[in-house]
Amino acid sequence: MNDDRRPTDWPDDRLAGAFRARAEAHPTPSDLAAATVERIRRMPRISPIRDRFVRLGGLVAAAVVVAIVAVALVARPTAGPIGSAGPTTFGLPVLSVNDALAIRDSGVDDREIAVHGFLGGLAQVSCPYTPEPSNPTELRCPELNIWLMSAPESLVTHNGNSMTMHGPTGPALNPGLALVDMTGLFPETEAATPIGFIGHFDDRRADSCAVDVRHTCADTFIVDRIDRGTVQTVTFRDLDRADQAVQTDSEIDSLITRVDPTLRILSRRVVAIKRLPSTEPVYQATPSGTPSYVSSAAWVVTALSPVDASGRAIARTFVIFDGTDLISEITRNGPVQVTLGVATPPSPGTASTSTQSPSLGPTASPTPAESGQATLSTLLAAPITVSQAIDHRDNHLDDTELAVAGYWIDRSGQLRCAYAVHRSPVEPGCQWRWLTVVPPVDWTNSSEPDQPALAPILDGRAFVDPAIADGITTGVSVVALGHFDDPRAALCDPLRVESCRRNFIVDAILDPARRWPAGTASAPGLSCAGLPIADCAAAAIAVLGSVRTDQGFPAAIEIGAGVWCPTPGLLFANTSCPAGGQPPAGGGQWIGYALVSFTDTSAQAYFNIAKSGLVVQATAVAIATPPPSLVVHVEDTEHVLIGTRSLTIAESARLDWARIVDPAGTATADIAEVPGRPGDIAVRWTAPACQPSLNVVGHGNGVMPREVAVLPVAPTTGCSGPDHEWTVVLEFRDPIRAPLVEILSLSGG
Amino acid sequence: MAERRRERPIGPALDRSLIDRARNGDLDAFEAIVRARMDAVYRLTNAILGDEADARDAAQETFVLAWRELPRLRDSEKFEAWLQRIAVNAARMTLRARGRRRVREIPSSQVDALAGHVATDDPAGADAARLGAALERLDVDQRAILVLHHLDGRPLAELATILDIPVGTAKSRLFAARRALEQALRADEADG
Repeated sequence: MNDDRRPTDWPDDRLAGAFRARAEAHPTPSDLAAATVERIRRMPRISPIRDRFVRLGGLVAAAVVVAIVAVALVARPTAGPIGSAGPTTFGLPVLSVNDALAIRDSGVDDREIAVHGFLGGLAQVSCPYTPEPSNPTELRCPELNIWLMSAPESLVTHNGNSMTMHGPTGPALNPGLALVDMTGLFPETEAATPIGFIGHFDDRRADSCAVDVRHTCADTFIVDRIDRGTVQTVTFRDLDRADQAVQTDSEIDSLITRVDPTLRILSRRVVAIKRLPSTEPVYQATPSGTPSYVSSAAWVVTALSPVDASGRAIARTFVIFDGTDLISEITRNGPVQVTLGVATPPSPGTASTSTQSPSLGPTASPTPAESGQATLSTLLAAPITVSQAIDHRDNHLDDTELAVAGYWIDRSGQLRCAYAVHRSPVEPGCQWRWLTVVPPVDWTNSSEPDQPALAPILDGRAFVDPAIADGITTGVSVVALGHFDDPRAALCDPLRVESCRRNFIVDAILDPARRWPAGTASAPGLSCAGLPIADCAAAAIAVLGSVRTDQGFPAAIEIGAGVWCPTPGLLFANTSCPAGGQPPAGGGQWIGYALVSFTDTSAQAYFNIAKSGLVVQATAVAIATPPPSLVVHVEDTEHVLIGTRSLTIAESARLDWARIVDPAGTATADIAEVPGRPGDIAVRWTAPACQPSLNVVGHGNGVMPREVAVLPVAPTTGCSGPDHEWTVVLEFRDPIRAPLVEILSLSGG
Repeated sequence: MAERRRERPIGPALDRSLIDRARNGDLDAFEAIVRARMDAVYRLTNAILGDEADARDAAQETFVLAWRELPRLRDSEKFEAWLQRIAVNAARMTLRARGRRRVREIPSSQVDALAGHVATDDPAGADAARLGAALERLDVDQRAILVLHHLDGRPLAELATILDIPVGTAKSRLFAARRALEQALRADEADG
């Protein structure tokens, strides 16, 4: 589980010290710099032009029957005026091959250019077998026999019955044509034909080439579009069967428009999923596993950004897994998920009924849980889709708890399945449960859904809302709480560990429609700490069932371990409190607490949660409207708060209180270290008898401040007047000093 | 108030003209860069790889690649981050190569640690040995971001620049790496 509140034995200082000790144990060898320089001196840097010459020389040696005249290529062409007035296509000035070569040789430059020239060579030649090409920038036979030339040349010489092919004598380049449909590109004759290409050098995929050919890859002119004199884009379909892709061209174009309406589509390809890695190396198998996808096809769209003030435009590539609206932009850093803007902006004044604000523009979202602090609060108010969950699995695999909205199908009893003993509870067994995007249409002839789907694993610990019946074969709308990358994957068969990590382990199946208060379109936010997810889910449902309608609509439910202790004055969440000394009315044990806040009111409802067998019940403790909170800002580095307690009489006599004032100078509190207890800090303040809550905030790993504890106040009646002194001792796991505590804000005190 | 994280430069500031000269093929200028930055690069590769011989190879490879690629560096202001990125990549390649190597040199200074014989009167040394063992369980990207952050004191923004990733990604990767390290440390403890 993703539990960043788990105590650590390795705080930052200890970790940094260990790193330093480890580094200091191995100082830099004294001869290393000299040896490195000596090695470099023996290996003079190869200039780009010389590099190309060497490369072409290698090709000559490898191609027995092809005589390549490289002289013209190594002669660096003079860059002519680029971007001057003249013909344009897609807003790009049409360049000559000479101009293109000048751009190539001028350094790293991945701008999109339009190049017109003459296409020559023989595409239909016998090539020695090579494995499936893994990178479109790495040209092989027959692409190495195809030339874009500045002037028409015949590259074939006939001698009796034999035929010899040679390279061009004038300026030319080998275009990388792996991304375009070459149908009709080559005439039956051997004569060079006029052609226009739109493409670029320094393609990002060159970074995936082996180091020794990376320069060569970067020099490949990747063709994004064959300029056929039309603005219409024809989809290049590289599928195993015609109906493998379900989305239409217009649907794909619509998605791209939502990414950025100024983009102009250069090419649109849809490929069988197994061939995606051959054009997008980023999807190739890695040491950590081979990606797998629910979609059987993927769309790869290259679109042109608007030409900027300097006359440059860049091609951007997007991958869309067929059947989803999930778009990733492929960058030099890998796939970056793009959040789509809405198709049409909402009109002003329209109240949103969703807790998730729509984004009008695309935003790159490298990971759904950027802070890494996602717990159950993740997204119950706005669950992600099955497709987004699949993307999370494929691109951001971790154990973040996810709330996934979809359709739950349980075909147990319908399908036969051989019993198998598994090493790990997260090893997949019979797949008869599915979470799908839409209800399945026809199960008759297939045991698997015909759409993106998760095959969740539901173990005995999962909570299933009683409203959801067993054996649902038609699909029922649910919110499934669960996670990938379960640590128990380590127990799987060694050959299946990576596969196990990718299984979606369900912690709870909830019925969002039945349990949330009627008349509202959004569910309350839910946070959970310290309880199993299944218990949290059950507790949330129990709490919602206990909230009276006249209390308002729950906006947030906070669930945690411990119970409310309705002791006079304070209401602490405390793991040792006997909940007022009373056992749960329904039997069982107290397992946690819940704090419910409401929309349109500052009232809060307090519940204790009891569990008896599989039954989870919520018992209302109080509902109150607390005054504004006291916020104590603890500027330590680990801030692991392990408990709270009252000050003992003996301690109170030995404390050295220090007065701290909030930045606004409007309120004060007293802070004291507790002698003999280095992790304890006592806080004292004066406040109304209706008592504010005490919020403790700390810095996690020095990154972001976050709340580490909220100590609400017992509801009292008839309280008034700022006449009560409150004291609490915060128990931190690590030593903490009073100067590290400050008031961030204080009101009501 | 909070102790602010150390932000230590990787060495004395390099004269930009030195980088420009090296980029134009001045080997003497590049030698000056090598000498100025070798400590930082070796410290980084050694921290990632945990093996003196590998670290030496990776550091040397870093500068060889830097010499070859320097003409392609557009902005000499970004040289430092660029060099560290190369070092991380060189460490990655070295680690891959290590898997193919049958014989691995074990410096004498590591023998005790590898044998589990850690001096009990040296907590820092014991921690270093435990850290080294735990890092072995992490992939190179996780090691790199931890080293850059906890050894070099790089804040998130610099991590993002060095690793050429968005700040948000750096943040989540750092978090994940830290979590993986703690799991590895616990696993090592459990393994005894």
